[in-house]
Amino acid sequence: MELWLFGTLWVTSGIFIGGVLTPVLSDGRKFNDWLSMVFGVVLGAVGNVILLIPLWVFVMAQKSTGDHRPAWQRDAISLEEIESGQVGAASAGGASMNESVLALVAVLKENLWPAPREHSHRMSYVGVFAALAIITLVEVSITYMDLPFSIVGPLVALSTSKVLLVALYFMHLRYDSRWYAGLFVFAFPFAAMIITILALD
Amino acid sequence: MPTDAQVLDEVQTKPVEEVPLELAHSEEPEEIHMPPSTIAPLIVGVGIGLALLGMIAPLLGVIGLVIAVVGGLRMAQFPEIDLHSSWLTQLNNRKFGMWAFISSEVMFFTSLIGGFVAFKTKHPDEFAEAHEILSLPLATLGTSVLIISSFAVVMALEALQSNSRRVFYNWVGLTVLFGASFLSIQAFEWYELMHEGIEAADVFGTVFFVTTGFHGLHVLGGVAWLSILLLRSLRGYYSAENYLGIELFGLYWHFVDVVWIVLFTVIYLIH
Repeated sequence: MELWLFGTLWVTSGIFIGGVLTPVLSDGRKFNDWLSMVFGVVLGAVGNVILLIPLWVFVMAQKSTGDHRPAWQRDAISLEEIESGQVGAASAGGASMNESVLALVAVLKENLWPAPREHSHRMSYVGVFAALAIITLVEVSITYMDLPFSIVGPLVALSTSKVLLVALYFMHLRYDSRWYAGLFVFAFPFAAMIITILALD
Repeated sequence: MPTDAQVLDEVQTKPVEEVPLELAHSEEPEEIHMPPSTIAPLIVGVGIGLALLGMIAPLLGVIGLVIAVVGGLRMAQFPEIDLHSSWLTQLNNRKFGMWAFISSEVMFFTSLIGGFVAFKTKHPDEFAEAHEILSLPLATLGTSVLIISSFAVVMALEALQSNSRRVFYNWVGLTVLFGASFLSIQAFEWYELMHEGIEAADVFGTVFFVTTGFHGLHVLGGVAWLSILLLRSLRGYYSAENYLGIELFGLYWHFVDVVWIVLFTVIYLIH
């Protein structure tokens, strides 16, 4: 399950990066923007799979050291193993692809995912981060698309929602005392005043 | 009221469990632990004052900055004791102070952004010309880096509160790394822009460099602050019970991220 999740995330991130970067890089050149986006999506997906190959080779090389017998000897079930009843996965020499990816996920989890605790909002943090990434992607995309209407309104709305997400969740305003939020909001009338004065000038 | 001798007798002869609770506790008032007073804020204040005078005499500015840094380091040595001091309801004074600071920063950056917009409406041609030179991919990269670092601070605080120290160090390290990456991206961008002919004396150059420059200074300050926090946490200052120092830094860092979200939209996206 985790293997599939990891694989999908990896390929999806490749698709996103390819889909955004390629049209950006080909901007102003002879390529059609949409064509280059499709090209970038394919390139990103395939590229990310190819990027995994060195890792796979490395993991394979790591697992196979120490036992230099030919594979058929190493994998063969000996009489002692049958008698002692330890036949199966424990005697296999090389780890499967699945196992090595699971090991990688375990290492990442050990280093980057905190221990569980009560009253934690970490899943909403992850959700907010994903939302911020997607909104940024949308913002940059609509800037590159030549839309027939003015995009100032949508851009302001999108960035305002980003600001609200960061303030409410990352800065804990949603969970903290209202007084902090009040102090933050207190500044905005003055900010509006500054803007008004500058606009009148 | 029993005499002292009677109390002593009762305490000494009876097993511990049977001693009445009010006798087991002494009549003395509870000790109050206050942090030692410090003159560090005063040093910082004098230093910043001199640094501002540096606008007239640059040498004074350098001396002032050195004094301010010394005072700041003294502040960093100040023991972090959370007194749970409350004003009104359950407010924490340090956190309230941080929010007040952020509130003032909102006004400061609003005036910069307002200035940018005002100049843009007055000189639309020059801004449109300069917008062609600006690199949106580079700015997008910088935005992504800053958003990731903001997320990293949240996860660091979460890890600290969950007592996962190794995870905490990893996220803090990532934050320092991404903050520094943002600065280097910005330095590269400025270098390129200056080669493309955008000068600080132009209408666009003035507002652009002042606005992004002040934001960059905030990022620089944040990276320095977080480096100090990292050193302090390596000495074991912070724990699942004492995390306010990291939380306050987080507030500042998210605010810097918020400012960049607005700047990115105003400067790079809208044209």
